[in-house]
Amino acid sequence: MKFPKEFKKYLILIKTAWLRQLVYRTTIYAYRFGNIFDILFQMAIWMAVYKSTEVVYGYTYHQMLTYIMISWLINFFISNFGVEDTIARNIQNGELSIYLVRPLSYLKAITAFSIGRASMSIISGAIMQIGVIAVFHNHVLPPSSIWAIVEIIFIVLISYFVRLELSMLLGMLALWIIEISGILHISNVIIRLLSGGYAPLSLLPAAVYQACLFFPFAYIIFLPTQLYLGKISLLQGFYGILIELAWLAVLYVIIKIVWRKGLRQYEAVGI
Amino acid sequence: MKKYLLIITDEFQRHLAYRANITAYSIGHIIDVSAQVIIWSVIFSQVSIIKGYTLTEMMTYVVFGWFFQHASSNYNFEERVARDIERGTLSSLLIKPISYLRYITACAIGRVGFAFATVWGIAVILLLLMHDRLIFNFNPIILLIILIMVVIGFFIKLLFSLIIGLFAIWVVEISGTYFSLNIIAKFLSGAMFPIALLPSFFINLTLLFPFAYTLFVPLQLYLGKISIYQGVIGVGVELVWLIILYGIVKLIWHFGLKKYESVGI
Repeated sequence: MKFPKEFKKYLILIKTAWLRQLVYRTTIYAYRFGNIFDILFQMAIWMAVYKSTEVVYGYTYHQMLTYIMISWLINFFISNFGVEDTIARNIQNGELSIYLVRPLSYLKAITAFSIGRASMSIISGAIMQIGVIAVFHNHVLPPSSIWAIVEIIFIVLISYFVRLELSMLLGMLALWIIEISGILHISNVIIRLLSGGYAPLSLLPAAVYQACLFFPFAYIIFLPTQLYLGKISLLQGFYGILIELAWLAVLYVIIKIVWRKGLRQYEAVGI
Repeated sequence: MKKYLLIITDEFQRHLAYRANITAYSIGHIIDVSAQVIIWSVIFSQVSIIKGYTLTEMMTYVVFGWFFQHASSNYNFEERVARDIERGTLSSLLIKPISYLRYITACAIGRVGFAFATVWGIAVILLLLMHDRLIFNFNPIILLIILIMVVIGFFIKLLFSLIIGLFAIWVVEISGTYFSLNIIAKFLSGAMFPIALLPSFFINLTLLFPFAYTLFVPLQLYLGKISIYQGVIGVGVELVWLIILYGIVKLIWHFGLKKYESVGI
């Protein structure tokens, strides 16, 4: 297979990031180990809750457990494991300057880097989560239909890039505010919350829930889980995909604008 | 003593440089607590009691639990210790006329100073916002026992962080390890949700570890779910753990120093 030259250099970046990740195999396994506990504890809370009640906001016990399992799985697939930190660090340390003089686009390079870096974690996370689901298969419902799965795969693919765009925007804040780890912390909590990563968004007050649907976050995790559970129709899922694609485009434009303005602002501190 | 006091003030002032950043973290905390409050409110709109917890008790657990957790937190101090080892900074500290373990303890105390103040600030905000949904217990003896438990809890967690951080002498890259251990420790302390929700076997299991005594047990005392006598026993268990962990730190330090390779210099 022959790739255009332009593409090839980014392919090398992906490969290098992947190889570099291989060095940290044990660390990655250790992270997964922690994730397993995170998931088990979340399950334990809901198990205790459902001892006292049958249904919580339209969610039966099995639906809730399925929600948690599937949302974790999707969360692994779309995670870029802190690209915002990498960008912020590149800016803070002034390493960005080195990228700027190279014959490649920083934004494309960081996208390639994130794909290479995340793939090892995505693979290990997905395998682990599928293992967890297999162990608890009695508590987890099957997908509503095959077509739902097809739509979910589409959504998750787009979600990876929407999430990546959000991370890029957050990281670029470092061009204006140098020390941003606190802001990154809050933003990640908010994004996880508004995307339904902690609990189904429908648990939120109706007005907040409606507001969530106006933001891109809800489409990252919440939408695919609803499709999986059959709580929304395939047609609604299709509309969801269109909205997510629109967000992908909008965020792309915002990134381009912020990047242009930001580069003028860039002071190359720390060199 | 005076030199360690200097380290504490020094470290405190250094962290004043990150005022805005620490405050930003605090806003994240408020969102975190709010999310828990919302989720529990939703759940309790369908049922009135879960494993002996009413809505007000659960709200009190969430808000005060958050406060106890952060009042005794050292904010991932293991990272600092691990970094000292990974980068070889430890070497320059070893040749100074101070004990590294005491030095690092002084750093930890100074470092949390500003964050501790913001935790109090947020606690006041949360209490004002939620005063009609919380239980207030002004029994001075109970409050005193809780204060002692939380203070000892700070040192227990600090020793635990030192132990994890010192692992870096053997395993250089340990971020994944402490990520996992912290989740387990957080769960065992009851910071994720009341351990009382679990089957009694797990409750007894968590009481074997020191973490429950830094958060879950003081909260049970506050909520009046255990007696003052049981609270005092809790303090005793905590003290025993403090001594055990201190012994482990000394032991690891003793063997670790022989292994220390001062990489990264």
